[in-house]
Amino acid sequence: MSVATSTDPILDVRNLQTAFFTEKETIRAVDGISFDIRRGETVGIVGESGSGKSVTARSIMGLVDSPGRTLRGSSVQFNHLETVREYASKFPDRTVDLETVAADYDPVALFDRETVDLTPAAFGCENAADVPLADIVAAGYGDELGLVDEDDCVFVTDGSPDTPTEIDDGFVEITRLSGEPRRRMRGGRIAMVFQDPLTSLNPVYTVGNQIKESVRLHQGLRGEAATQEAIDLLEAVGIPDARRRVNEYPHQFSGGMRQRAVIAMALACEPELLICDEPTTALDVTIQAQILDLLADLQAERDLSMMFITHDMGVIAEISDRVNVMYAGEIVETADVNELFTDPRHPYTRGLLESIPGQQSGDRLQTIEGNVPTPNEPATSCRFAPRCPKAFDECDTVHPVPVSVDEGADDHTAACLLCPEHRSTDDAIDQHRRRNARRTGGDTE
Amino acid sequence: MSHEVSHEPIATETDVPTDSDGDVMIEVEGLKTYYENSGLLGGKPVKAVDGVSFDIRRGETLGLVGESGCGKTTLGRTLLQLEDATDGEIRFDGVDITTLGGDDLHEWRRNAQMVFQDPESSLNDRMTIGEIVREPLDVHEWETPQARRQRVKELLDTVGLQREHYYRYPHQFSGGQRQRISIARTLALEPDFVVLDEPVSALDVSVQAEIINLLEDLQNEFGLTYLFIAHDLSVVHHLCDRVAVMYLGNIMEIGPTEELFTDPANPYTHALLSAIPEPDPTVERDRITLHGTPPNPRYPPAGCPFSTRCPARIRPAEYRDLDDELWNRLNTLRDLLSERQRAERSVRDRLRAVVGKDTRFGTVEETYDELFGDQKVPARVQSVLDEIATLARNHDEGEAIAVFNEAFGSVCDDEPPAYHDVSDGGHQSYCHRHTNEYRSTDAVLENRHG
Repeated sequence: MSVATSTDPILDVRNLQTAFFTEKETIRAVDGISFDIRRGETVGIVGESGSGKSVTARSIMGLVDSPGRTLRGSSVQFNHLETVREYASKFPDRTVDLETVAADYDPVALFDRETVDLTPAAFGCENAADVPLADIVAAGYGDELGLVDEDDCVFVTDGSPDTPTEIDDGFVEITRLSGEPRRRMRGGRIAMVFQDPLTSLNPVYTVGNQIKESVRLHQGLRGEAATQEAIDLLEAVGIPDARRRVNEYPHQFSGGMRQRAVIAMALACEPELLICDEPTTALDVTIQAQILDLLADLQAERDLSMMFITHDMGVIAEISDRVNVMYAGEIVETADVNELFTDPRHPYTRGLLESIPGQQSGDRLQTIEGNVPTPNEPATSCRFAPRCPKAFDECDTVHPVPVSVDEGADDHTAACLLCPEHRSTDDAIDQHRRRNARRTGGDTE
Repeated sequence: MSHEVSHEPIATETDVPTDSDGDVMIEVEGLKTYYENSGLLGGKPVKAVDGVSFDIRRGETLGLVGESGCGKTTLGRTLLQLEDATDGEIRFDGVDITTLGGDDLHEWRRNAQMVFQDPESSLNDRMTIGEIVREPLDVHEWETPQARRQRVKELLDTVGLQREHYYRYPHQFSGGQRQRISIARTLALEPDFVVLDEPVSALDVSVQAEIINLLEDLQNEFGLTYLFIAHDLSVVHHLCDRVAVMYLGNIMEIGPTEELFTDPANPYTHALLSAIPEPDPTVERDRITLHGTPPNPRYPPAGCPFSTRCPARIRPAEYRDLDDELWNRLNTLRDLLSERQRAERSVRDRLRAVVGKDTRFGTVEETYDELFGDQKVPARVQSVLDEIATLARNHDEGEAIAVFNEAFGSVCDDEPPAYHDVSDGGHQSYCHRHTNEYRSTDAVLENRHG
């Protein structure tokens, strides 16, 4: 393995599943999604309400409350070398050298053990020997295989945990974090900006007080130094007269100012990744323009990676580099932003784009009939099929998985039985069937 | 239908010819709606709608756009007499409805209905759909209870719901369906005029499209006249015949939709249009980002309402050569001064100032350093700034603002503009730039932001 380069993803989400267990049913709000975010890039997530966008963000932040939890088999790897080094030196008990583990165990033997109900197919591989050990461990199967301890969360793949400064590669598995390592990750490495600035600020504390809280927790600054840091942060996000503002309460700020203050708070600990959950939805267009400009400036200044959630296609077009379209807990299409808007392949993405007023020539707006279903069972068919204008018989029996839309279009995937388009429909359906069988570890038919 | 009889007070008045063409349904003239302070000493009122005049023609859709707090909802509510007008007239088919009261008002309200923004809060969760839609019929004692039930079922059909939904409760419906229920209730009394207050803002884009289509169908079928209030300009572009752009209680520009969107005349419309993110990543636009936020409607600017943020504000001739960035900083300084003037200074602040400690206001030097530290400030500007600094140090912000306006102010800050006809199609704009004395908005924006 080599030293991480700038094109390597900083966050690698694999097969993330988050479900809410209610008395009536199990709601699979996020149902096996995979995507990555590279350093300095903005990845957009778009979809209608109820498609699982916010739950994805909350799963990454570890903010999913009971009765919801992230299921085993999910993996969110944070591939930031400095973080791995820091964690390895701070939490040596929770750090594992995967090279040593790999030397002791043989992956093929692991799958043969009777205690584990697991197939190589679950990791998208044909043979047991091909499954990387890191994936098995990250997905949470390491514990019962006796490979790692329950609270291990830092995995070193190149270098030795004994000398943290010389680690060359590794990752922190976010789904396995708890206690102090989780607190350091949340806010310190990954920060979040919420939709409504009025509810994410506490009305009984001054804005300065709330910014100082995270400065105190993560940077250890106190008193005058913390106040100065808070003032500097407010200035950095474009709030004039910060010295006065720092002692004011949220109700004395306007909506745009509040969102700026929330962004200042998120930036207080210099995170690597900023998750923005509909940060401009509650704002007017002129203020939205200011906030989008601010985010773009901050990103360029600090080399931030961003995950940007919104339902506004205009905002997505403006701010993101790559886009994931979500529908009923699944990612149905992933593409570069230009390609997604010029050449959408999934019928749902097309429908979304066509229903924007002003985007079509005709007098009447195109609509998508019906509603977003609640995903309460593992998918055995296409969840969009009941609303899809192109649905055919197989859509009700085969669950589509994300595949390249065309030969050579590796960066553009869609979960539709009509893709890949260079193959005949029957071939394509076959491919989906096979991939599905692998994904679930059994035949779906 | 029997309610033709009850139309009488208005029907007789409609026979009186109005001074404009018969096509006009509603004439609004110099309308003002202020929210007074209820305190003992009164204080300054909030000027939510501050003198607007426009017409709405029969059968058209007039769009009303603007940022939150600009008074568009208040204007809509005042048109329906849900708020009392402070001044001005609203003539509905020639009758000034601001003078109506009691039974006359009750009867008139049949004619004008409203659809509210949030379908979650505008339906009573304890009533069935049938009861909700029937309520206006009950209130106006429309025919027999049996006929009312029949009518409700027909209405549910009309808006694309099923008759069986009569006995269900609102929580069993999705946002889009709830908005359909709301629309059915609005149509119950066959009104001529409907105020739609952001009816699709709370909905997802595909559901939004369905509701917009429904609204268009209903308009064609029943010949409705709409006032469509929205902040989403793309929806307005699609749906409306004419658009009025509102800012801080004033209509900045009004005109035919296509003309206003392709060739905006007012600087505010320019800025508003350029701020909409296009759902097309390849578009490169010169966005005009407005600085700051709209002023407090309790203390609107003396001149043009938009003067504090205007990207094309007229600058005094002697400072015309100043850098744009320096102008931005100067504007920020003025905003700061007026904010500080209104910020209450606590006893603690005063004490701290007396004993020479830091107050939360910071010193003028710090502010200046923050604003002008990295700017080249010409000597003649600096001398004014020094004078302002001396005044601000003594907490005489009022005087400091006066000095600022004396030096950097212009006609925009002193006098309210007039409405200028931009084209023959009734396209009007509220801006000083339309007088021959000054360069046109387009040229200035090109120059400053191009």
